[in-house]
Amino acid sequence: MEKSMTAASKLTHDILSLGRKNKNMLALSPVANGFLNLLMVIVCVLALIPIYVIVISSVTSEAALTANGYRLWPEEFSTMAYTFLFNKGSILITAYINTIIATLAGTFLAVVMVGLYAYAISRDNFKFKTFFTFYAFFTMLFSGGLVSYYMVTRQVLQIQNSLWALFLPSAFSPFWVIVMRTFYKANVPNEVIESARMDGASEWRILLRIVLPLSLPGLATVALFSAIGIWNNFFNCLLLVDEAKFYSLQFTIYTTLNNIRFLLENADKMAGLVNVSTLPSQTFRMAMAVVTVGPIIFAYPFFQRYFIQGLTIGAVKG
Amino acid sequence: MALPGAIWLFLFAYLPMPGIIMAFKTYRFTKPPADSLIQNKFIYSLITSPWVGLKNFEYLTLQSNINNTLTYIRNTVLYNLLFMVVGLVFSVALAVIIYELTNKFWAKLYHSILFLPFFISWIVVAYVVCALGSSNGIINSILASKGLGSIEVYRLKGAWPIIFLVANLWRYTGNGSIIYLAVITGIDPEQYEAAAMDGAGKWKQFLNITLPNLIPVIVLLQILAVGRIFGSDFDMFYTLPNGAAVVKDVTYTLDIFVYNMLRSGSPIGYPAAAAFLQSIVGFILILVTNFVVRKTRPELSLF
Amino acid sequence: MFKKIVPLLLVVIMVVSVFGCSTPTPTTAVQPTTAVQPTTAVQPTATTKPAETVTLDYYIVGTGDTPARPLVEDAINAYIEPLIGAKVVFHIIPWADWASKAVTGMEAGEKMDIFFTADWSNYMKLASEGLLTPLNDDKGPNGNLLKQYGQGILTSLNPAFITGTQIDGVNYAVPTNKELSVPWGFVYNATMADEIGFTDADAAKVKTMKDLEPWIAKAKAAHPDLYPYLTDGTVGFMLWVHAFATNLSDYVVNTNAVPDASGKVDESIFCPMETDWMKDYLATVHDWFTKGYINPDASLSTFDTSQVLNSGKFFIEPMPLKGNNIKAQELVIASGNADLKLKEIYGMPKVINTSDTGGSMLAIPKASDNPVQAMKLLNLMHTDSKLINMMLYGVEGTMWKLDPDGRVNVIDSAWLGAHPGAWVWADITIQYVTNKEDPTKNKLLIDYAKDAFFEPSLGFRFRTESVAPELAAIQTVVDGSQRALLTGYVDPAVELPKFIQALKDAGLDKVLAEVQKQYDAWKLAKSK
Repeated sequence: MEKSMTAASKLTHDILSLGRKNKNMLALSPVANGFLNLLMVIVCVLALIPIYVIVISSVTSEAALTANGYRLWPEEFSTMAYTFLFNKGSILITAYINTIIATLAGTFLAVVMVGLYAYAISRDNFKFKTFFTFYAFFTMLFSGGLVSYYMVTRQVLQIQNSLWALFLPSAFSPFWVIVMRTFYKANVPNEVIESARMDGASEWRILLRIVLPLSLPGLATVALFSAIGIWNNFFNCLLLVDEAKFYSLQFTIYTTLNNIRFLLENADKMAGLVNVSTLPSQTFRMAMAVVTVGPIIFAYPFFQRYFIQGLTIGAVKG
Repeated sequence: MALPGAIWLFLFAYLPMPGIIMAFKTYRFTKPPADSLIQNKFIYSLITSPWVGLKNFEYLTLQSNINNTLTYIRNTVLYNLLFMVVGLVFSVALAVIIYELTNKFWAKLYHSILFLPFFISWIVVAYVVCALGSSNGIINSILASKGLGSIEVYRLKGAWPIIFLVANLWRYTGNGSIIYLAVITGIDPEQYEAAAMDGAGKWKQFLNITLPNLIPVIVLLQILAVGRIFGSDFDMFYTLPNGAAVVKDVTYTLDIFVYNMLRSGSPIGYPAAAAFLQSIVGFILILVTNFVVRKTRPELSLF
Repeated sequence: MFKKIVPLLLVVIMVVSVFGCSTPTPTTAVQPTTAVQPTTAVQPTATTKPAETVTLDYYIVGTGDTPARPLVEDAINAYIEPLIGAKVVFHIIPWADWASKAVTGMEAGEKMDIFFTADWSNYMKLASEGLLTPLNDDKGPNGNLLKQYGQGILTSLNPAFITGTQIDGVNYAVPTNKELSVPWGFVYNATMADEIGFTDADAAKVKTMKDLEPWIAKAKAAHPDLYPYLTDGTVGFMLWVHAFATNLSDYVVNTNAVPDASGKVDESIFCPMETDWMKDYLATVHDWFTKGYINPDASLSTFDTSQVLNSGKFFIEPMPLKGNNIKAQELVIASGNADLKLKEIYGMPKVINTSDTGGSMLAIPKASDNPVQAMKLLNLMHTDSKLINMMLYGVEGTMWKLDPDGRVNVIDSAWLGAHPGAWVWADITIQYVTNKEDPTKNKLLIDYAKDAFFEPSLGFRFRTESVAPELAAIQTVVDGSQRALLTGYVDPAVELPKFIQALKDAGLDKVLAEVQKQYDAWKLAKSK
């Protein structure tokens, strides 16, 4: 998979990249393009149906929902769920802020740690690469269990009830290390590094000026998935946070929905101790689901340009 | 350079790892006496708990229950294989399509839309499935208005593999295609141009250029997926059927079995044993798969 | 290579992770005392006055943490610190996370001093794993805690509570004084009853499901688009004891609850699913299902009966009751529906069985370093009305006010909504009721049990260790399938034999034999 870029091919590519509009040879035929567009539209509509149902039911009145169940168009509109939601706003706002900070910090940490680790083990001349690869990989399969993890994070590392709890446990991922290693191997050939080193560049310079630009799509992928992972993660909060002021966003919705499910499932065992009537209504749950998705849906569009742009930058740097 | 990550791994993964022996013990809590060297209550209790060998694995191999266990394992493995194969095809297809579409604005839009399902939690999706497929749900009311019969999704065993597959694709295709898209974007377009100039059509270009470039990542991801073959997407399998009992045989996976067992108040050695089993099987499978890959294309193997 | 940044990163990460824990709020800092350093030796003289104030970590289940909590803690601590030399910090763990967080934490030796538990919430499991402190052990490290520091508890509780919650004679938790007899029955829509002519006299005549049928048929005729029989699978006419205090289903392993004419109860252990009564019941329910009396989605775990009840779109629903129409009143208040009128029908006589005593308890974990203070607090909670109302409603003045008639006017329900309610706080007789409820409610609840029938099995708790694998297998068989049968979703003629066979395959007979064995042994020991 070594794609060595000779000077000639780079030149050709530069010329071509400037004249992108003229890539008639590579473009799809209009028929194929039209067909694929149509296909995509259908697929997207289908994929959106469940989301549509959720959004619609969040603005349906509770009475209509109970009477008729979920429908494609509400019999009766009502924004009660949202007003109710914003009345309980303070916890949600805190959770939003916590999650945003945690996502930013965690993503940064993840990209740095994963990037460095993967780079190290992708170099053939790294003596311990097999050891470190295995060291990371082993943890993907074997774990000490929940109780042990709980004990270590709370009693040894003591990160509970803090913002650290929300992202530190997610700040590194052996999975992405291994994926990035493949990416580095493919995109950052040893010859390039060697030639730079022979030119007298320091490791730091090599990393920043050569490796980084070449690995941008990969790192962008890691950043994207880490950001989403941390945003969506409720487990860290579940295990490590007791105090409302450190709640994460997904945890609040998860807890609400899961509490309801738990109480409904166990109603017979608890002999009616809990008055299930006071649980949040269905429309409220839907509204929560909508609201907690939040800005993360813009994460992908944000990162998209790195996927498309990546190679151009690399080639120019040559 | 590997040090920060290595330290993180040590703290968060290796420090808790000794807890794995809980699978082989009957956990009894004991408070460490004042003169003991180990004052951490958990560690002390773990060390002093009686060793019971494979006893915690018994419930899995219980003579009377072995059919059920095998059914659940079969479900788990088959679903995973199904998702791996079909998911791969769809993700790669999507990545290629997005890359090839001429109008970049629409391509990005489609991709962003297909990304959305990933953010909806399964519990909410379960409501939607109920809304769509239950006896007075949307689909049935449409069918009824056309005079066709009604389908009872919660009674149809055959429907569920399809439902799970569709749900899995719905949620993960957009996501999964990103890695492949990143790789495809990294392919030098002049390779395509050279091929086109040689008269190769789109399909040939895909086979000879795109696919070989994707192979390292595909192989890698499949090897890693194999390691999780005894696991499953718990939330999806548990919440989507909404507790429908009639279809249990096709919707229960090993994780659900373990979860239900937790609810019966069983000792904590039990889920630890199940987790250990999943880990060991996954580990062996990965080693085997990796070995096979190493023999054929060494540069693709994990290690 | 990167020897420069690496050590820096290393130091930063380690330093931050060691010190970057709870933020310094004035009162609610959770002291990380269970670090690995060998300093937390148990002082043998812990019964004497502590030099400094002790912080008690109180774990309770609920909907989740609330910003109101620190305020409530401040108010409570200002009150109890001079009395018992301890402060309390609440940890409200959400329902769904209780098992993965609270129980896990306890097993991990986390610092906990008071822990909510119940028969339906891991009581037996925790006790058998040695996680709970025995409270009446004369030879314990702090003596018999209940006798020495819990006199208030012992005098205020019905003795059934104390003996009923023991395991082999040892008390592992302090029960909450609340309704002791919770007979099953039905709640029905009074408005619809009037429509179809279902009078109170008719209600009194209902003794079996067949008696209900004509009325349900009438309700369906009057409202064809409704499902008159609202159920999630629970049975209104219960002939059996409600659970042996295990997590196992009532319909799988149980014994009789109803005394015969001579006042004796048949104490044999059996599987209710195998009885003829159950066969008839299931056939009836299935019949109703096909006739459209039961909602087709009733067997799904997402089916929310409370929503239907709140809207009043049903006729009758099985429900555990508390006597004196109290349950019906509570449901009406909670529904927020002013048009809803409910009445009750009783489906079994007033009995007291083991799980009624253990429905809500507070335990002291073994890991606690302050069992004496914890017991003192528990005792205070059972005797001090001011304290318990603070714990229930929050800070007086800002979150609630006392009306002239002695009822509570709730101003801010943040705290009230975070915990499960009155039944987890020690003793309902010293609590105020809200101004929407009957002022005599609590007294009525307690008095209701005074003439109830004490089941002979009261106090028997089944130890699950020897049949744990079988129980795990049985649980898997029960899940989902049981509810499908009980809501009439499947045809019992076909499915019931399959269900029973699956139970047997999972080891039902072995479990029944084991329960019978333990029960006989327990009876023998008791009679000595």
